[in-house]
Amino acid sequence: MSANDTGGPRVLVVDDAVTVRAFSRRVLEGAGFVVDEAVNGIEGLERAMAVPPDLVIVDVNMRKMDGYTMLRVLRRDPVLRDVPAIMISTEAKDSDREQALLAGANWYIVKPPRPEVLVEAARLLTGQPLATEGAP
Amino acid sequence: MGLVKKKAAPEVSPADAGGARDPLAALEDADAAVRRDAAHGLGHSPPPGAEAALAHRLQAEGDAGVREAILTALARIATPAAAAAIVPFLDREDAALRNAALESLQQMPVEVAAPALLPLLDHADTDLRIFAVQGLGSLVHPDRAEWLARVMEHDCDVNVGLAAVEALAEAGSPEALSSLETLARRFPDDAFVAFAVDAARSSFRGR
Repeated sequence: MSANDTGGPRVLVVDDAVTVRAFSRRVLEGAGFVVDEAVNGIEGLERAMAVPPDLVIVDVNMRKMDGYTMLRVLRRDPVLRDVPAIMISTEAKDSDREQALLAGANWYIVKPPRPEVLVEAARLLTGQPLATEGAP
Repeated sequence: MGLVKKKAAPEVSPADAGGARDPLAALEDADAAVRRDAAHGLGHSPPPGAEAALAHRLQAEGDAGVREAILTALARIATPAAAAAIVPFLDREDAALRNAALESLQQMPVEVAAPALLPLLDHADTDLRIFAVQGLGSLVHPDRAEWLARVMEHDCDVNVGLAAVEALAEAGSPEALSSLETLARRFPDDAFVAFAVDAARSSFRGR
């Protein structure tokens, strides 16, 4: 796990839907993460290269560059190739999950995102303690 | 008759050479540059059947530049046939292609794009309905808010309704406020729906 100057792991949310970005920010910041945003794959790669995140959350369907393409580029980058990635999509078919994993995703969430699922996946992939850990 | 200075022969690129050919035939050339130029030419002066030929080439085309040229050409032709030729690409496995297809439809005049997208609101495939909402939501049309309101009030899939909320929030359509409330009531236990509806409501009030 890594953390930035403000304490929490840095998450880059890449989605063309402003509502998804805002919701993810609110939920993840509430759980102690630091959130950055991008509106498509190209901007996501630019942001990730400028400030490498501890986790990326990537939508599938975006203009200019889709999420699959972004993840494939990420996985070829010597600095960013090991950054864990959650793919988030409205598409719930097995083939969609497989395509996401093949592109380099570590986790797949079907929209609309549930706050507890988003937070637990983010904690798991950044090495943070899970909410259930330590529970009796 | 005076002497006429002979002009130097112009350089001929493979693409230029293809220009002298039937552009529909050039679309199937082995050279991607020729195919790209053929698509470009067809976009500017389409012969009868250009839409179908471009769509047929797009089905098999692997070169990103040629794909882009084909979709640009279809957007430029902008006939109902061109719009209809693009629609099948909205549910392709290739995410880059389906997103580019939607962008191409969105570049068409509203009177061409809307009739192609509206029937998709009733399609059985959820993802196609989402694309239809995104496409229709970006069009400037007097019935736009009504289309999106219908989706929020009746579509059975929460993500289709949320796509309508997103489209409304981006453009601002206060007349759809009651439909937003209906969507919130239809999915009362979904935290994301509540958040999205609140955000859209606030954005309307702030305008």
